Amino acid sequence: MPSGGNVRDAPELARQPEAVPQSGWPLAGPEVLRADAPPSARDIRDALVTKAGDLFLLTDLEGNIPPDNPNGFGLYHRDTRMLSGFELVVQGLRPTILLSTTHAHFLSEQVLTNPNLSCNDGREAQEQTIEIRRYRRLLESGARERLVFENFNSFPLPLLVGFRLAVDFADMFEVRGLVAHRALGQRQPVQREPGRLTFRYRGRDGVSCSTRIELDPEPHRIDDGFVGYSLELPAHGSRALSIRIDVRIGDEPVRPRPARPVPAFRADQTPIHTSDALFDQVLRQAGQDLEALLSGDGSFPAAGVPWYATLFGRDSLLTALLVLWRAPALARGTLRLLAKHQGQRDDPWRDEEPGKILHELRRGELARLGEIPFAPYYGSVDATPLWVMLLHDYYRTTGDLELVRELRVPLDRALAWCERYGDLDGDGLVEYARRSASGLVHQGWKDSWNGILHADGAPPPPPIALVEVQGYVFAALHGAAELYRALGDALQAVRLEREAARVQNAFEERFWWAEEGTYYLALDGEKRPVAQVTSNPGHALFSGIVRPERAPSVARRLVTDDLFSGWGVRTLSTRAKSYNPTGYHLGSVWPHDNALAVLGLKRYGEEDRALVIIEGLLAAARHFPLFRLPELFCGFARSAFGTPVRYPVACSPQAWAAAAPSAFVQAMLGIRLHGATREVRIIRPRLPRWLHWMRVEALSVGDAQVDLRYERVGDHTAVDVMAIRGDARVTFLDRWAP
Amino acid sequence: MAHEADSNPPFERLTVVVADDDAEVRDLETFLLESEEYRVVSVSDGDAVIRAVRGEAPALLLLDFMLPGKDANEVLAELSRDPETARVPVLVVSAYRELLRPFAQVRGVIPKPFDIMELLDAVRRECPRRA
Repeated sequence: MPSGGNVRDAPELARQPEAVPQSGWPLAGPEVLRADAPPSARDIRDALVTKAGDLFLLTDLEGNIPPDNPNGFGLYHRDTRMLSGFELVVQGLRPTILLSTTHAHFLSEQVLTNPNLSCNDGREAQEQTIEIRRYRRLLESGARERLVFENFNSFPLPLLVGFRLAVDFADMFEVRGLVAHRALGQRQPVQREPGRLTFRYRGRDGVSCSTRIELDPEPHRIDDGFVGYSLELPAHGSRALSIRIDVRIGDEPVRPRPARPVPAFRADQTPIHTSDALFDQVLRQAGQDLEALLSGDGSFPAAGVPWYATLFGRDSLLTALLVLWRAPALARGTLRLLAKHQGQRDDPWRDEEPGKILHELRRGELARLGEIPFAPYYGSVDATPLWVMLLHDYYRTTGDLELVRELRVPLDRALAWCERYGDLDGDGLVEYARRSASGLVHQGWKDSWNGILHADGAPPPPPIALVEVQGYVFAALHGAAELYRALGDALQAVRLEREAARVQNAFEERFWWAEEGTYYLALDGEKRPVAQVTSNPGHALFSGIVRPERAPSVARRLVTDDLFSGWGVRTLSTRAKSYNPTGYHLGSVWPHDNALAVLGLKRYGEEDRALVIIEGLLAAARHFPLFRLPELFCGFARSAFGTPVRYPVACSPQAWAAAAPSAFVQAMLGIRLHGATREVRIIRPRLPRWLHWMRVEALSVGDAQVDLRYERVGDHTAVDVMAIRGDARVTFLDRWAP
Repeated sequence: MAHEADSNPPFERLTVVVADDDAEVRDLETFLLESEEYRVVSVSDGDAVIRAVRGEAPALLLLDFMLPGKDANEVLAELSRDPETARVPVLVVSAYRELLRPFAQVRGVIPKPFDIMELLDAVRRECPRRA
């Protein structure tokens, strides 16, 4: 997962560089991401998250941002906390919560009430005789809030209402405790006007930030950290307050409103209905989350809220891959954007090389100043082959050769990176070794500092060749061969196919772990296998690199008890010395990881095992708030507690977790689209026993659309082609074909 | 430093009348439309709706069906008799769609409980703001 991961593990960032042998791999730049920085952001399991465009808000259940809170609550824009305190107090007390909800991804609502209160006129307001309704909407430029105070008493009440305010303009990396707190730029004096406070800050790079808070009606008291009202609530009457918060960084153009970008994904896109209302809710929430996570011009998904609300290579690519059959526009936007930021030069500080696809793009002050190497950072070994994979899958799905032509040069460069820079030691495998002192120690998806360990707990020396990365490279080479053939370059296609075969042979020869019947996690810099039973070989199945005769064994291993918790496939076997069910990558369950395994199992005809995993994840989803699959959850066995155990700082929503249910549906339905021939291929469809029917509407293939209905009849699944609009055909196959 | 309100071209603040007898729903609709920069006049009974439409000449009326005094059919019948109010576009927000009689000025019915995005999209469609 994205860099920074969780702060508790302070994962992937260079926390223990001395623990990782780096001989022969000199590190560039200063080590600014510190292990001893105070961890700020802690438990956010009960936080409320709202998002609009590139702005997001993290509050407690009351809708408050308590000043000096340790949870990272606040209003964020471009990796900068634009509001760090906004707390409602009534007669000096915090009201009691009756209800707290996010009604839409940009809208939160609370219903609050009063404890016993002594008012200034000596009257006593009994508890629960004043109702406070709090509505807050996030916009792309700020927030709007309305508070309604309703008095159910038969006498008027004078009420002291106030807000504690703070604005720290902290960089996201400071908030997360990944760098020591430092004052970078200069705070400007707070500008006070009637009914209005403006907080201003000038960064060391000269970029100005401001947060303006306007209140209507004008408050009776206003100072830099507090605004207050003496509200006269009439008997059986109400009073309302409106608050407007506008934020601004630099001279960025404010979007003309009410124009909204055309989203690359809509929650109601390719509607799916099933006989299971709870499954429908999981799908609906996942769709809404994906739409909410769209960022920038609405063409790509941010990785997750709150900590990863920005462009990540791996996350955006895998998300787009998982929902590609329903939403090719998301792939198109992601491919274009990542191509725009493709690596241009050899820059060890950013782990950048020509042709490499970025890992993470940050826009806060530290990144802008170059104090951290994240604007952008390129420390991802898999984003580049995944980009090629997505381009190929997009072409297969849509038949859109124009985009392939448009991205021909980035494609050439991405493949050149795989060959030239990806294989660091010339052994024919793609591996990683960080070059930046402030970069990631591990650069695959398990990027926490201890995400990749030998069986005895020792850190493997770089360069490290991960099992799933060889699969991605294989799939990228194969897919690229098809793209070049479509572009008329048959020679290049043949060369790439030959190279793909070579990668597959090397993979089978060097990664196969006969004793366990699966693949090693990795090979270290001394070419010793990292002999750990992990979820990663599921990605190898997804990529298609696994020889068919070995697939049943790999599949069996994935759903054996030490790896399969009952809720999903763990990242690491319980038998491993380093297993930890609450470790970030050491035994936890990640929905996207499972979704890739499910698609891999489907590819190799292992439908029964795929359904076991799907059932586990969907059962888990029903225990989470809003039926939303989080970034990850703990690896405890299903039998142990009967409910999945939440991970304290998991992002929720998280893009690739929100994409997972779409992949589950695709695997059940057996759908594979071929846009160039307008063909919907249905391969061994299989509904689970708990699902009687499923319906997919307006499935696009080329410029045609298809409606399908699946129904379980005994142990079989029948498919009814309900409608075909346009020139398309539906074909049924018994095995996966390229 | 300029803020959005300072730097954006000024919008003409169009008026929307929101009619619902449920205080919480009325508050929510009022808040949502104000956050869209509409000027909102909110009322809670049928007679007040007619007074507000006559007095405010709104760009849109958001009308609950079951209102004290006069229900939506009665309100619409009265509005449609008056040339001054017969052209005010109306979105009916109600679970009682089948009870609604046909009126030319009704542009759509949004079922309750309503989806927030559906409500906002419908209002924007009927009542686009002009710069």
